[in-house]
Amino acid sequence: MVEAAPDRSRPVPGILTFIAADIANFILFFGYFMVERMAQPALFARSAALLDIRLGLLNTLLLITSGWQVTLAVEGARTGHMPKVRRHLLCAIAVGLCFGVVKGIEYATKIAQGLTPRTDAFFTFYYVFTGIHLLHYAIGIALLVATFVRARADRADPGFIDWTISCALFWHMVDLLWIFLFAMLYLQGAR
Amino acid sequence: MVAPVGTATDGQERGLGMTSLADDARADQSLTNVAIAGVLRVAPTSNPLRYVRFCLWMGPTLLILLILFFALLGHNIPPYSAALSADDIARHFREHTTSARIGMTGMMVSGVLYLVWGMGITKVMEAAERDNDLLSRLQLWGAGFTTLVLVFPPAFWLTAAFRPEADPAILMMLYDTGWIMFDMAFSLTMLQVTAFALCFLNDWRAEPLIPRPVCWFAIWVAVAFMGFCFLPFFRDGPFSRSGFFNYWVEFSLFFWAMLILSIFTLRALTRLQRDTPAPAPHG
Repeated sequence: MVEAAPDRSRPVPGILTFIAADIANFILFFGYFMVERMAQPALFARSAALLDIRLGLLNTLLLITSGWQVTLAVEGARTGHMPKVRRHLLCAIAVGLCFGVVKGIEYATKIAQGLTPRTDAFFTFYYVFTGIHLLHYAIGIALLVATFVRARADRADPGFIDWTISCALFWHMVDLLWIFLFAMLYLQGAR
Repeated sequence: MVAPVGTATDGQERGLGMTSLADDARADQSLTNVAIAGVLRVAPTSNPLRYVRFCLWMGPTLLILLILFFALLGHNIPPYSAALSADDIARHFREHTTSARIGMTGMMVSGVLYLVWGMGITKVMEAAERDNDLLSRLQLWGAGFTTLVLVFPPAFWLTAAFRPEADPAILMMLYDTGWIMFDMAFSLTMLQVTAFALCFLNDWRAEPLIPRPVCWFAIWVAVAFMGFCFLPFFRDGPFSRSGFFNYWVEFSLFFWAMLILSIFTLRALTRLQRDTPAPAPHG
């Protein structure tokens, strides 16, 4: 017969499987992008220069700040200090939401300028990669909100720490992927 | 012939009068009495895992049939580019009429095995569910609807192969419709694999029936399927239906998921059968 688990607190290695697979997927994306870029470097540099580095940098700072707040929330969860968890999660969500606002403004500006996924190969990659990243971002925000809801209790329920660590790892992955996207898409157009 | 419980035959065979009525009632609950060729045989009734292995093997079986019918005979490795002209698409149906007809017929006939496979997974999931059967039901519904995705798109391709002399523009539209239905109905399979993963992530065993990395792989597949959302926007390039990411990465994940989920649910079934105590001999 099956036996009950004395200790179920092992979700972290599990989500690392997801993160590893997802990052491998993005590595494929980046590799493909670089190969295409080598074929037409002038076009890629010209198109990249049309992106607003300031907005890209702002979004990088927003995600790093949000990631830092999530780290502090994890620290609170580990020490069982629930008000600290809630406070930092709220900050992380608020700062994180700003990323979505900035991204929305950026998309709207680019489309208004006539720069769409059909414009050229660079903008195809730009919209697809940042779009897929935005999907991950949306999942991440949803996870942070779910963590905040769970953190409303005065005492952490069993598994809360592992849940929080897993969500934090996912959020850091979103952060990490953006840093690569920022360097690859925005900075190559910098003068 | 099946003898009703508590008949004279049944009573004579077990020596009625030597056992109490309570014992009889218990025995009647746990046994089915089957009379074959005039000899009464008493068989254990309860085998909740009967046929499950057969159902699970339908996954790999379907995988092989899809490679044969859909991929090879249907000339779908990879599909024709959406950037091709209507005449180019029409030429495919005119040159490969017979193989397309065989392939698509085979695909429509064998697609139902996906549902059988999903039912096998459901039975394994039920062993891991604690509070209710919601996730195993969702998984089954996801598998059931995915079955339709394996059956309906080939009908469009078969229609085109059935009348290859038709206007090339019509043939191209049939080809496109089939592919858009095939790729864009990914949410149905997403439902299936997500329900599968969530169920086994909540498995309370010290050693879960399905390893957690496999569950997270299934969740990743579900998220990765979202990449199909780009398909309607591109006729060429890596995100078009025949492009590197859309076909070789996203689309192939469907088949990898079938393979990996089959392997691990079959292993889980072996473990469940090992852990289930053999029924005590009766009669």
